[in-house]
Amino acid sequence: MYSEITQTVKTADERDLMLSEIESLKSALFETKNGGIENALRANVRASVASFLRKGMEGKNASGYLDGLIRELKGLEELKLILAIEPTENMIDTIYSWMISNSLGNVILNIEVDKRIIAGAQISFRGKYFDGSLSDLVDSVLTSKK
Amino acid sequence: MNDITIIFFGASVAVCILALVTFFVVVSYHKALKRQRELEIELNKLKLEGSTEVNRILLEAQTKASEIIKNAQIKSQEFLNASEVFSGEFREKFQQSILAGSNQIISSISKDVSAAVQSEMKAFGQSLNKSIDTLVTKTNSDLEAYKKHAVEDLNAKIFKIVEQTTKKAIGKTLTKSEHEAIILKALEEAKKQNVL
Repeated sequence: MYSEITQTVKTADERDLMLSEIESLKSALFETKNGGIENALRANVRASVASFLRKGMEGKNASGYLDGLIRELKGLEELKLILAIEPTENMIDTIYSWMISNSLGNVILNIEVDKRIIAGAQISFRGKYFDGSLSDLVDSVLTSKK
Repeated sequence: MNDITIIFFGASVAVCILALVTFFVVVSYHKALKRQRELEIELNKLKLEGSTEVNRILLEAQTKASEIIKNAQIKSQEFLNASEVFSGEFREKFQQSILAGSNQIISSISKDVSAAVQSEMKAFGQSLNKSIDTLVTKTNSDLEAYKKHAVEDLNAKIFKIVEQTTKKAIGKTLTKSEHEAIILKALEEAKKQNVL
């Protein structure tokens, strides 16, 4: 029911943005003065998200649909990545595609940047941790040269 | 006698009486004036005599006071001279007695003390030499340890600079696609290790 829209969310930042858009829609549900929900969809929600929401709410109880979507978004699992650079959109798409192809469909990326790791990624998921950065590698090479 | 005669006689008597009264008043005034002059002269005389007497008494008092002060100064100077002479003599005697006493004590114990002092000096010299040797050894040891620590510290700092420079150089040299490839490789490795 919500997979079509949740698949458009790839990062925790995008999830938080969408949640704030849905909250603004919910508060507009009972307004009749300013054109109600349609006006809120046009004014407060990104176009790509608005079209998904219109389609999703069609013939349904809008309030119930939005509450369900909020629960779904808040329930998405996070894969935490610490990267050495600020990722581009293409880079996020590539990583997300890799996650889909490796059976990590309902997982979003929570990305932080730390230049000290040089390159690669430090990965945390479901309480497990893996250091795939070049920081340790460089340290070990330099230490062996001491 | 007729009335005119009586009036004339009465008037003459009244004029006579008036003349007598006037005469008496003039004489009395003259006497009083004379007495006043005498009194003034007497008063001036007394004043003159009084001031002379007062001046004389004051002069006498000043002279006496000067004499008393002068005598007191002379006496006090005599006392001071006497005390200085006494204290000088006393000091000299006291010093002499102390000197004599100490010489006596020193001469009585000098032989024993001389031996003891020589022995102590010898022991002290040996102890001093030992202390100096120990100090030199410890200083050399400390110096070596400090040199070693300084070299290690310097090496660590050099290594840190090399490490930071290398990391920055590698991080900046990589392109975005190379970064992406390394990230995907890290994800693959995490999957192999069952982290994902």
